[in-house]
Amino acid sequence: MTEAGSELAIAVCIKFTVDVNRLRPDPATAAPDLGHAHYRINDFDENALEEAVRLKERHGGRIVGVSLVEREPPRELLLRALAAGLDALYLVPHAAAASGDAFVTATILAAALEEIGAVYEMVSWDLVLCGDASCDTYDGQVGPRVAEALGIVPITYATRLDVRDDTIVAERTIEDYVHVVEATLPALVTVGSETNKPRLPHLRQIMDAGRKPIVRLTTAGLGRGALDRARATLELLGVTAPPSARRRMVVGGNGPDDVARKLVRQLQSDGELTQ
Amino acid sequence: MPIDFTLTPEQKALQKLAREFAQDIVQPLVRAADAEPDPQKGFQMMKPAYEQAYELGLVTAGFPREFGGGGLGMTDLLIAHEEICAVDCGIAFIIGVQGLGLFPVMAYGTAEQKKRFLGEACNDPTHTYQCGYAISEPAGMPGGTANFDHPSPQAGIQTTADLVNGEYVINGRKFWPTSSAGWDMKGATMNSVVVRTDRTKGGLEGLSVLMVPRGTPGVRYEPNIDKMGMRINQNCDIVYENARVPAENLVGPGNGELVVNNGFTFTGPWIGIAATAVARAAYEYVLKWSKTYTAGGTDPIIYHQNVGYMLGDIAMRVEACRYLSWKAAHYLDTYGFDGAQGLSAMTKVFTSETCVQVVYDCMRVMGCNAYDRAAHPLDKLMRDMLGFPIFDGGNMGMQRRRLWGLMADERFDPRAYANCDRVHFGKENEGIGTVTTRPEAVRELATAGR
Amino acid sequence: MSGRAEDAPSGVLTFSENPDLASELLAVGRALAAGAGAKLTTLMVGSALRERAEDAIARGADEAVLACPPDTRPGAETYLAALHAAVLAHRPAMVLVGSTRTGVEVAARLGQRLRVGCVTDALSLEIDDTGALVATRRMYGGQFLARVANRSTPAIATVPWKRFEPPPRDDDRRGTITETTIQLPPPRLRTVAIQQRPRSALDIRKAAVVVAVGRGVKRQEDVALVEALAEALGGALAGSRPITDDLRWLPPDRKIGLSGLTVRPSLYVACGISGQIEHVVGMRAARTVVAINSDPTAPIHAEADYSVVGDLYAIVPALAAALRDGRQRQAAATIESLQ
Ligand SMILES: Cc1cc2nc3c(=O)[nH]c(=O)nc-3n(C[C@H](O)[C@H](O)[C@H](O)COP(=O)(O)OP(=O)(O)OC[C@H]3O[C@@H](n4cnc5c(N)ncnc54)[C@H](O)[C@@H]3O)c2cc1C
Ligand SMILES: Cc1cc2nc3c(=O)[nH]c(=O)nc-3n(C[C@H](O)[C@H](O)[C@H](O)COP(=O)(O)OP(=O)(O)OC[C@H]3O[C@@H](n4cnc5c(N)ncnc54)[C@H](O)[C@@H]3O)c2cc1C
Repeated sequence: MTEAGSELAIAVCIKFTVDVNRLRPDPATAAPDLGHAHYRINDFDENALEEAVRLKERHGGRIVGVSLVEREPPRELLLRALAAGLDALYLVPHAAAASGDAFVTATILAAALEEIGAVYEMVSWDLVLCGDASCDTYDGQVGPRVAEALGIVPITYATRLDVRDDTIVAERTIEDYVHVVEATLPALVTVGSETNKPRLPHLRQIMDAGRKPIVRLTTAGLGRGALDRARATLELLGVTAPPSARRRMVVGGNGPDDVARKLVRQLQSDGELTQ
Repeated sequence: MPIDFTLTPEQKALQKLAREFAQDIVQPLVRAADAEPDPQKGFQMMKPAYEQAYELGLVTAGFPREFGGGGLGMTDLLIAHEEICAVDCGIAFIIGVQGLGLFPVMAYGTAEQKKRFLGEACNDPTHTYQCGYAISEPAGMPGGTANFDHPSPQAGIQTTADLVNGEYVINGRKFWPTSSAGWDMKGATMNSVVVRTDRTKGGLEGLSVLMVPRGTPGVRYEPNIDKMGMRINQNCDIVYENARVPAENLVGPGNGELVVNNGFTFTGPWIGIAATAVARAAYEYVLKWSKTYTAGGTDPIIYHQNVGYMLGDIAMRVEACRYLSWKAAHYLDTYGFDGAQGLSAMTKVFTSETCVQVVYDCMRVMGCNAYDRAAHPLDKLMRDMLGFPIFDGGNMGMQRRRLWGLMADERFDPRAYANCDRVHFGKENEGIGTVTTRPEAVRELATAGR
Repeated sequence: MSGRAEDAPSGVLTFSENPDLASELLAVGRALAAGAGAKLTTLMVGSALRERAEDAIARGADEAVLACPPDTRPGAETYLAALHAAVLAHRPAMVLVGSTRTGVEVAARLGQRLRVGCVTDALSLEIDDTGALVATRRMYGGQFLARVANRSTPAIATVPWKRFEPPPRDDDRRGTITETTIQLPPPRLRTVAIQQRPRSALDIRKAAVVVAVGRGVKRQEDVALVEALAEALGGALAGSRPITDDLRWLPPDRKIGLSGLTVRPSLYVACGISGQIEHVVGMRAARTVVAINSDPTAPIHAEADYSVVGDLYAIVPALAAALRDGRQRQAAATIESLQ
């Protein structure tokens, strides 16, 4: 499997997203307080990157990351993505990146993937890996749309995958079913948190990550007039947090039995233990 | 603008790695290991986390790249170390102690010794390598550690090593060293041991370091010390009975006391940031508590002025301790340990003593609930914190003496550290305060002189 | 109306491979069709679909298009071909697809083929005065709600399961049933195996009390502790994602949260759940929330009416015992009052 010629050219689509668990509503407007947001690599994209690294460990090859970004993400996140195993990272800055319009994102990403593939003199990527969805929009469209734009077969919601020669075998989880499929490469695969547990990178990989190439592509330079074709299809009218009104009472007591009795009494008086 | 406290992107990524390691891998093991009555069992429960740390390069982070280490400077190390200490300082010291254990080799070893000992440390396929650092000795006669640089051969370090047929024969006992007994009580991979190689000389000339590998016959490990805090840290009781090591394992002949002083110089900011981290954990916990707990009143307690002011005082001390530690680390990165002795001691003493008070103040803000060890972490943080002023060269017997010895020197420039100028520290600054003014001793000296 | 208006795309086309969800889509479709040029068309793919087609018409569809693939190959590729063909043939203003994993893939790929937008997982849909399809959907893990306007033609949206009730049957309704065949390209994805994951008979969304177990439980056999509490409360046992997906200690239909189900019980008890936003969105609508978590800083406490900061291994059995105890005493009192 590792003989010459079977090395894989893998692209991983990576989104640098808001860390949703640390995002708070602005108390005045209930809109997300993006000014104080923390950023991270999208959870599922870390799984995609990990899967790419595992495939590379088995088959050899090259892993290139591609990210459509509104503006330059914090450099420590770029270093982390590189440390996790990317050979190079391509950033495509575009104002529409923040809009969450999957058509725009996928169209530009697909054009960028073709452009980068041309840099490496490739006819096609063997494998494009994406997260099932991104944690901010939880939309799930970008992977299948990129596959469609590139004209390659999408394998969505893969929980396990392996490549043998030019065939990919994947286990997909579709609601209650496990669907085992195979396809001839090239393919686009989307993965999630069940697929693997991303490793922490080695300290030296982090400290040396800055030596790997970070290339910035401009959308204007992308082939086939990608930018003109990627006009917006959606408009975000507003984002607000619905209010929460919990009592937030801490039930304490003298040991578990006492706590339990107090809680039962409280729930009884609230009328929650009627049946 | 040479003074810049901005973390580099690399440092931020390193910080995140250490934080994830601490939260994902260490945190789930801590509670049970801390509660384990048998100290060796508690220590062993952390072995999987240690192996992970080794795998990630955290254990060997500070060793030079040429030997397979991470090549990090002291400032970088501090950034990672703070994140681990904020979760548990015991595992952080187990991870870090190799730096101290191999300090004698790094600072005083020959090229050959560096290649051998550092190479071994950085390339262990089992990911379990440990190197202890054995100076301290048990209470007894003479006993103790603080007077290691006492001018009399009958005082200070009493573990001896005599050269017999090309081998050093060690006799004596060490008490307290971290990670010396290893995962199975049969010894860490390596131990550097401060010994008296010349029985006729005092602490300033008669001490050296011997590298004692695991499996050396004549070394015995008594059960570990059962401590009030830092329970995850293994502290050992080692007995040497004609233990033999080859002569080429000798490091820094006649400079053992400098190794002790400079080793603790090297760790000053490292302990400083650890104390900061434990205080930070207490501070952040109590801050959150103050914003949600009403104490039966109508508002969260942070709206009481006393709580608000106290939290402010807590926060400012945590910040101050962090930046002093960074400053000392920066000085070490600039000049190495040589000259940092004073600043390092200031950092270690100031941060450890300040942070004890910070954790205690956190308990005062929180109130009685802080005393509930099942529900809240203040108990463990306090127990751990109380070790800081007394270990790593106790503040009273060792750290302050180093600073004193430097300041008493005619050449001492009180602005040198502020100006980031090189300071000199040598044997002439050691030994201060080891000979007391006990009235009979003074009288005896006077009579002898007559 | 001029000829030009007749040429403009109009009406709503719905599709879901899941029959229940397909019926539910008719409710939204009917409501939107009123503003989108009246006609509601539903697409079904497969064979022997007449009965379902008639049911769809009774529930509000004007036309049911039955697409019969050349072979019995199911899956996204077939659905996409059928839906694409139906869009070209019927030129709807809006396309609604059921938000299953397959449905989202089909909707997204259709959108890319047609170069139009798609809003997934719409919690509500309406047409604004500019004629745009406006959806409400969750954002940032579910802590926020976004309003998104889809101005494309056709505008595509996907609708989650059980969000809407299927419209009642009206057996007097009439509509047309059209049968078509679809052309399929040679398959690129070959199915090697399909296995069903175990499923529970229980629908946690119908339970008045839900007790959920999270990663705070250390071993699979300890799930029984929490199950005993669920029993004592007469409630259903559910789980967080690590429990259902990563560890598979509970079937997938017991998962609560963004990628699982949304429950609205009167009482919800979280045992060893940290309360990450992706979980919380699934239980926010509960009337009363109890959290049992040993970490006092866990976000779940902010989402709870009653928090117990403590070890679930001690609290959960104690709570189950206290409940059983209370019930026994009540039963004894009742019996006494009858004597
Ligand atoms: C968690 C932990 C980890 C440790 N790890 C190690 C390790 O890895 N290796 C190792 O060798 N040791 C280790 N130790 C031991 C520790 O570093 C030393 O034993 C300790 O710092 C010795 O300091 P001391 O001042 O208490 O010494 P002692 O000699 O016991 O002195 C006791 C006290 O006497 C007074 N005193 C004595 N002499 C003087 C003097 N000349 N001037 C002023 N006052 C004096 C001071 O008040 C001093 O505190 C560890 C200890 C702990 C708790
Ligand atoms: C796009 C996306 C979609 C997702 N969708 C979902 C979803 O639908 N549903 C979902 O649940 N998650 C979902 N997640 C995952 C979610 O982010 C969290 O990872 C998950 O909810 C955490 O599960 P948990 O609370 O059980 O585990 P943890 O976060 O590990 O929490 C375990 C908790 O147990 C407590 N604990 C430990 N021991 C004890 C003890 N002895 N007694 C009491 N308490 C104890 C700990 O303090 C901790 O708070 C999604 C994530 C993403 C990125």
